[in-house]
Amino acid sequence: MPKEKDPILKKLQELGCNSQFKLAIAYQVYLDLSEVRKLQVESRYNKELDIIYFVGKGDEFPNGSEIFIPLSSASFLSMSWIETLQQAICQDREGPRITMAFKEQDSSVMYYCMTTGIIPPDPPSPPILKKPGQLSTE
Amino acid sequence: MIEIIVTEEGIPLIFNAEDWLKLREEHRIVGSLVGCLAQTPYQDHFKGLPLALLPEEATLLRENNVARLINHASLLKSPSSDVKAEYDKYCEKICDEQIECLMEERKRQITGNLDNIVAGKQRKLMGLKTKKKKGKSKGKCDEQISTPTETTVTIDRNKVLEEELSKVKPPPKSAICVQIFTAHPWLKSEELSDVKWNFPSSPTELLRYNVFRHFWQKGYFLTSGMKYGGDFLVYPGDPFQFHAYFVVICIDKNAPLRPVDLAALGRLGTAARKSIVLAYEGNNKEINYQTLKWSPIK
Repeated sequence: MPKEKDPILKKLQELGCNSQFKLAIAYQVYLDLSEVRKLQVESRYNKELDIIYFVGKGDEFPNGSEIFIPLSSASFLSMSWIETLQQAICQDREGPRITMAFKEQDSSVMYYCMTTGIIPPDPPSPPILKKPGQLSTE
Repeated sequence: MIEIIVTEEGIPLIFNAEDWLKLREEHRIVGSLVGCLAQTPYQDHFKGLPLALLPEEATLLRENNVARLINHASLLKSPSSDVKAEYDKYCEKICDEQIECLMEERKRQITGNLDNIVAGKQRKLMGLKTKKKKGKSKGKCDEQISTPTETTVTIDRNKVLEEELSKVKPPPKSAICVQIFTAHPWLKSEELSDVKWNFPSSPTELLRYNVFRHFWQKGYFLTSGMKYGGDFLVYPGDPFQFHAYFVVICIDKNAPLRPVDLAALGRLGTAARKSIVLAYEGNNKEINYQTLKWSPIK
């Protein structure tokens, strides 16, 4: 650790989490969200579950914001754990929904969203007209 | 009531075509055809009866009093001499019926064509040659036919008809169509026995059944989800007309779930344009559902 702490890391540490491992994962996911995806990110901490999570704001999300849970790609989850997490964090929301951010060994992050309930698939995108009379499936 | 015959291996089968249609149209039960089409046996793209049902489908139909699960002792034995005699009698009957039908058809053709036959006979008696074979000489032929001759021959139409009809011979038996049965037509009801059906028996089976029933009650069509690595595929309408909306995976709520599993499922859902629904039993024995989707952020 450098003598002068990274301001983001410092902010995350101040949330109250003591696990260095969780902090490291959260730090990298924070950077990916704020620097790569260019989201406005707010850091939060749930003491009961001892978990750091982020609220990212953006128009592309159904409620205007999305909850991100930083996790290691080597971690083990279960449906009951995901449900507990949704109930603890998304109390005030309709259709509790969290996005798990799995940090991989190569420092890339993959995002998978879990929503309570049965959500139908997105409608197919309309065909794009390439040339007059020619349809593309994309 | 629809009769579902359960094999020794415990597979519920429907042999009757009307039952198959009724199940599909009225009860939204799809199953999977596993039989060979009699007319095209050297392919496995299109399949025929019997229809194999999922155990969930069989249980649901039984619960709703639509069908009964039965076993038939005589299906496991080779046919008795009575059945053989009955079969031979039936074959003779359909053979006679077909011959009668073909003879009728031939007679109808002759009667309908009588004018031409009479005209042809007249020309023959008058010594006129008809050159119908070659298209080139058509004009010449027409000329000849239209040329009136001095002596006209009169022919008795009824006599010609009788003559022609007497020439009609029954077709050989080798030309007769043979019926291939998809269901046993001479099953005796006294040999039927109800099958002991104990699906769902384990917690996993119970979860699968409850999930199946939940979607079915909502008006969806369901098939096995094997093709997409799930438990069920859920369709908004008949699978002939619609793509599946959901791939449903039944899972224990405490089963370890690795991120790599979620990644595989999430990517599958995106590639196949279907929602991945994870179904699990909640704390109060209710069924909970979670929909998994790959990255909402780009």
